[in-house]
Amino acid sequence: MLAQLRRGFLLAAVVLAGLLILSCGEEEEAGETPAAGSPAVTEPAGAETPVAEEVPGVTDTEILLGAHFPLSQSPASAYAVIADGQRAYWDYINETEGGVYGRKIKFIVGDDHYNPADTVEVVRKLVEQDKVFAIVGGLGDPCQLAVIDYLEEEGVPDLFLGGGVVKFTDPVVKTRIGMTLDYGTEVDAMADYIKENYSGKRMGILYQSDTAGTTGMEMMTEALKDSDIEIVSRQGYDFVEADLTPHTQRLKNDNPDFVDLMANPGAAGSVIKVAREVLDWDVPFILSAVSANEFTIALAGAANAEGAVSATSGKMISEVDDAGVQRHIEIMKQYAPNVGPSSLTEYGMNIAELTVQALKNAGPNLTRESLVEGAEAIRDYCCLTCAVPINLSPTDHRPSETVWFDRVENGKWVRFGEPISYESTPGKVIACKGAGEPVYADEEE
Amino acid sequence: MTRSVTRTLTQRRVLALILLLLLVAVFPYLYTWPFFGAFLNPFRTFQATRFGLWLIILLGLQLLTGYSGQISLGHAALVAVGAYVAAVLMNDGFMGQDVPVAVAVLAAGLFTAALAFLLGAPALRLSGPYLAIATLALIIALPQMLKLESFSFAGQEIHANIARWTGGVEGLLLDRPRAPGSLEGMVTERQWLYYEVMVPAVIMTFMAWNITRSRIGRAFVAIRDTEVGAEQMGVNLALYKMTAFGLSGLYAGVGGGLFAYTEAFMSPDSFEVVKSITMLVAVVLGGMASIIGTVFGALFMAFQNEMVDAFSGLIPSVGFLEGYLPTTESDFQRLRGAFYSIPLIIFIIFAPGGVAGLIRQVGGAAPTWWQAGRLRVTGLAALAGQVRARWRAGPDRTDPVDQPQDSDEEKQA
Repeated sequence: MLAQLRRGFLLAAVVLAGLLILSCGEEEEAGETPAAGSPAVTEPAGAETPVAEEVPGVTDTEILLGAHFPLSQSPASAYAVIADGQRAYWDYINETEGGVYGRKIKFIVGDDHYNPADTVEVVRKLVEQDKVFAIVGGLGDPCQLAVIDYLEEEGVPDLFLGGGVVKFTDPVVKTRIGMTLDYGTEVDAMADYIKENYSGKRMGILYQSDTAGTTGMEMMTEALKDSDIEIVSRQGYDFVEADLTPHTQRLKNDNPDFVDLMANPGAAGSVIKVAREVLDWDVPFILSAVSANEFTIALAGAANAEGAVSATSGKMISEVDDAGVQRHIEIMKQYAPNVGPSSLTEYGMNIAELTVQALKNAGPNLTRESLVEGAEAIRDYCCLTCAVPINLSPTDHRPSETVWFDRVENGKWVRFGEPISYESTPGKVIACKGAGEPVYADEEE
Repeated sequence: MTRSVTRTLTQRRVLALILLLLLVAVFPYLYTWPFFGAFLNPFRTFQATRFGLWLIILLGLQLLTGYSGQISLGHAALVAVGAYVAAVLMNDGFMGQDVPVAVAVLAAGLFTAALAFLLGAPALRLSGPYLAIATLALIIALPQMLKLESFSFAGQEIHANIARWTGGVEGLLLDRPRAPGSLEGMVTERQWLYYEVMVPAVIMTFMAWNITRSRIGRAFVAIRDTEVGAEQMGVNLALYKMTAFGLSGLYAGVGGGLFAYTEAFMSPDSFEVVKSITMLVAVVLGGMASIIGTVFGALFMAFQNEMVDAFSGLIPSVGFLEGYLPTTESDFQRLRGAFYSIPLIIFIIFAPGGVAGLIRQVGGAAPTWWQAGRLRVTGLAALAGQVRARWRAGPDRTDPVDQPQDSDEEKQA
């Protein structure tokens, strides 16, 4: 017994000593940069210092790009086909043009299971083990939030990231460029539309309880604060919830005149279906841009979704008469035959096209700086499936700043009205048609 | 039941342990040596730090599930609680005072231990799948609670603004971790983090090893194997079950706190259902009721992605197999779930005792008495053993369990 006590005390003493040593660790204030010239990981004496001309991920024949995507263990893995869209276009450019300035593009995807802790591992591996040139198209708001500081510090370009959190693109960070419509712009556009068309009415909101939905809901509340629209119901849901009947019922109980669904296609489709079929409720729906695609219609049922309104910046995969969409489908069929073309692959291909444009602008002397500047030089650019042009500048890192409202008609999304621009870098092009053909302001439609 | 060979600390074992500790101590500097530089680099140091974090976290789960038999699918919730407590303390301090890292982590550990201890109370009446469901509910609810700003109850809007403390959906950004001024120049940030994690990891592994071989450990195992028997022997079931939860909470809290410190970012989505289940998978894969097994489990957690990559690399990309086997990057991407799950299933069928069990089989050592107990791991080998036992029992004997089971125990391990 005594021996045990002694052992116990000894153990406690060891633990305490260890803790005292550890408690000497200080913390640096966030925002304080390390001393100029010292990289985040100092090289110990005797190790090789990298040659100044050596650019990670770039050789005379190859450019190595990386991204993190949820490939498994998460419902978000449905979005992994975006990476397929990216890779298909780059394979197409590699084969038909021999790459960009003779360098072929190679693309590595790391699986982060949509878990921010895993994203840190994946991105570190891409940057430090695989030595990628840039991260292109990294997907997921919470995932990106975990790695933006690391990428900024290491000077690795984080291009065309898949997330709309406002702080990704405002304040502007040199090496980081967004892609999707950021939540601020989206809410502004939606709020304007609502004020115009639903003046004096009652509004219900269904929002996903993650970054996108919650931020969107708060911003919408703020935007409509001084208007005559009354928000009578706010229902949150977690994206793992499969059955949204109770949420829809609660919305119906509060009796709004129209409902804004700040939700992903699965949830939006489910709510619309339940409302129309189970609850016999014909309330008009406004959807988030993320749900303005064929998945929502498929899940809701074409008849149920009729009349739903949303905003988009791209052409729908259902527009098979459009030359750009046809080109997209052709490229997908040839270079990614096992992946069905969809609005997600369109989005991926948009990213890939912008990247190629940035690489071309960067010129043959390719560095991370010249890549970012090449991206910032993109003006009046119409990608294959863009409906509106893309403009970037050193102060504007948001490719998507123009929206075009669309409505479900006969099971398809059809754009109506004129594109609405929140563009901070005005260009001469107002819309895109065909396979990347710009429509100028003075042209006739 | 055969009495297995007690694991005495022989000279050889002590030497091996010392060498291992030395390796752990110098690991972050190894990559500067010419031979090791080929496969070690600062990224490996980062991975080793992650390994240390998972080791602490999984030890807690091992004590709870492997030794005490309480299935917990909600361990990640305790980790998240510990992480957030530590993060809030490091960020906002306590009552106006700055809180140093070690104190924050320790406080997180103790808080989580207390919380888990109390959570053990409702779990007293539950066991097996029912306990699993209850703990699963914990991890499903927690991320939502961490993002909570307000909710409606009985027509009222209640502003329980937890998000204000936790940073809500966008997560909590912490100050960058830095080595103390006195060590400046001797350690890089990454090396410092490695030591910040490894020292507690080593200490807590030693603690766990001690606990399992102590009175508490014996009580745990007794509860796991037979609750009635344990009670008969004077083990206070309620107290020890709650202590098991409390201990797992301590480990989870410390692990979570250190996680928050090393990442300098905490998100409510970092620890969720899938992670929680994967933790249990890791413990089982490593080997239940085994400290070495936990080490292997932690290796699995830290190197999952690389293992899956390696396994996909085994698929030959031969031309004529195209169309029958996944060959392109895109195929590997889309089948990633399968590349993860299928090896796992195959492994667990043939090695139900986990890696530690395999080592035991290969080494020829008999399982320790707490591993050979009623820890029911059925695998093909064990089934074969039972069939043989029934065959030997013949038509007169009805219960083959009463037969001498030496060879069956070896087969079961």
